[in-house]
Amino acid sequence: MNRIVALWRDTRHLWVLLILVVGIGAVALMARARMVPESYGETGPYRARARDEIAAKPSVLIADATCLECHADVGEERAESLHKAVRCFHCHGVGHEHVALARKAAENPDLSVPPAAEWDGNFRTDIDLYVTEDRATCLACHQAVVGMPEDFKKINVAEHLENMGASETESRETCFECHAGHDTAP
Amino acid sequence: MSEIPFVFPNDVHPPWSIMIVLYPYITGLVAGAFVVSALYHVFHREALKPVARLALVTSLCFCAFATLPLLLHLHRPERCFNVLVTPSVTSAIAGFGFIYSAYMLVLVVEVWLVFRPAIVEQANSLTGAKALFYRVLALGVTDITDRSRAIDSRLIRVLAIMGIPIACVLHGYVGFLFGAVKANPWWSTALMPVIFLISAIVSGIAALILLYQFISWRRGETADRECVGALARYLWMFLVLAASLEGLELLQMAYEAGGEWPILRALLTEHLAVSYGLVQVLIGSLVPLLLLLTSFTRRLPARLVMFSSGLASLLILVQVFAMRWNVVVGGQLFSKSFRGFVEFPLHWMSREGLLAAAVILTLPLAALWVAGKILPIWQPAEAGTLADAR
Repeated sequence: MNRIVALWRDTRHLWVLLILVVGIGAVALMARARMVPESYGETGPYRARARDEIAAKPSVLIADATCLECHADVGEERAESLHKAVRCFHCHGVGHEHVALARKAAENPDLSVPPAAEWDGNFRTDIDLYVTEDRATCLACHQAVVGMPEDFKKINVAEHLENMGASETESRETCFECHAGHDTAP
Repeated sequence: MSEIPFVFPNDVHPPWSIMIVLYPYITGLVAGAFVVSALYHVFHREALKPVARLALVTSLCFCAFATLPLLLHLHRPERCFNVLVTPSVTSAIAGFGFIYSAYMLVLVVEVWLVFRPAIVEQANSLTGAKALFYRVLALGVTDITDRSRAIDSRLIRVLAIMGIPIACVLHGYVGFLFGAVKANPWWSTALMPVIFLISAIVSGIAALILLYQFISWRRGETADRECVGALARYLWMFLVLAASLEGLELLQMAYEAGGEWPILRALLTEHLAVSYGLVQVLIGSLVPLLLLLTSFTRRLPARLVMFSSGLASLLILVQVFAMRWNVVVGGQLFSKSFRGFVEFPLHWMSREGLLAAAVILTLPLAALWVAGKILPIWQPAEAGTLADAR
């Protein structure tokens, strides 16, 4: 009996420590039970219900259909073009302000919609709507790089411009001497 | 062929800031300092006795702040517990959360057991609020018997043994976080965890040499030559390993000359020329390797050995920081198109800026200062602990 008492006396601090660690662990587990959201993990490591909630939100993306309400001619130009797969905002910016203004202008003939701005050459630009008659826009997709699909139209710029006899090889608009952006036919 | 650099849109902005450089740097110091304390507690390297306690507390202080850079990097830091509450088995950082927690537990318990005799002594000798503080630290148990000391010493040794693999995994895992990014050829190598681990040990030993020398100087004492010499020799050995592994990895990449090599060569020769070639290799590795050779002979004056070890340690701490920088920042400087480079934005006054980084680096040192006020870290070879147990 004395040995047990002595052992208790010599290891008391360790038992206190153990109780503390187990206690903290238990509190953490209880906290976890409260923190794990309902429907978590049903379909993967996320809240399953989040998908429906997100899907129910209105889209903030300006879809091509919105642009084509006014720019039907572009839709016709692109109808047979390979570029029909490219979304308007890819080359012209998100256009939130532009669409909002256009909608207001449709109701109030006194309002005018300013023309698209000149692009500053930076794809991270915050210009709402811009005109991108710039070689960098085209080359963002068409510059030949290793690993591009065989049937994708890719070019070596210097070679291509020389072969085609381009006059302004350094010009930003050089691509548009021969190509239209919407219709891909040469 | 390319007139304009081709940079993928998701490469334009390097997402990982200097905070992600600090994270492996601080974690490395944790692991390295712990290895030194284990060399004393487990492998009985008596020469390291003067820094054994310092190493343990240094490890704890740096560990307490190891995740702070990550929290500052997160835009929603309050979500940090999500990786623990709802861990994904395929999430690398979730794994780190558990390894870090396990290591922290082992470290806190070991430090508590090592300092328990001193805590109990303070609890019994002081009065008022101070006594209460130490009584709380002692978890209310303010008596110590010889047998309980012996039990504690055995437990300290068990924890130190357990801590070695956990510390190795902790920092090896940080290397794994980078090594597992297969889209990035500058990171994706199986050697990355090993390189991180060895350089972590290097940085930890270097930090301890500097701390020990600084504290000795502040206390008006002379640092123990045997201790500094032993640390310097360990440092030299681990530095040889680290520099060799880093060099061999680069040599293999260069000799294989795979599709990624042209961009990596341009990265090293143009964008990281100073931080890699000059700082990491020349000033941070070769010079310290030569300086540390002074610790291998007894013929040189003690002051020279102390000075060269201290200088080498300082250079090594800069080198390891440069190594983390070169890995983290270097890996984001080139586009995954392998065709273009981007700029790395660095600001003084932002949440992830240089000033915040400097503050984070001083916080563990401030914690160490506070710990020194509470616990007898600097007391020489007290009664209790290891020697008695053996």
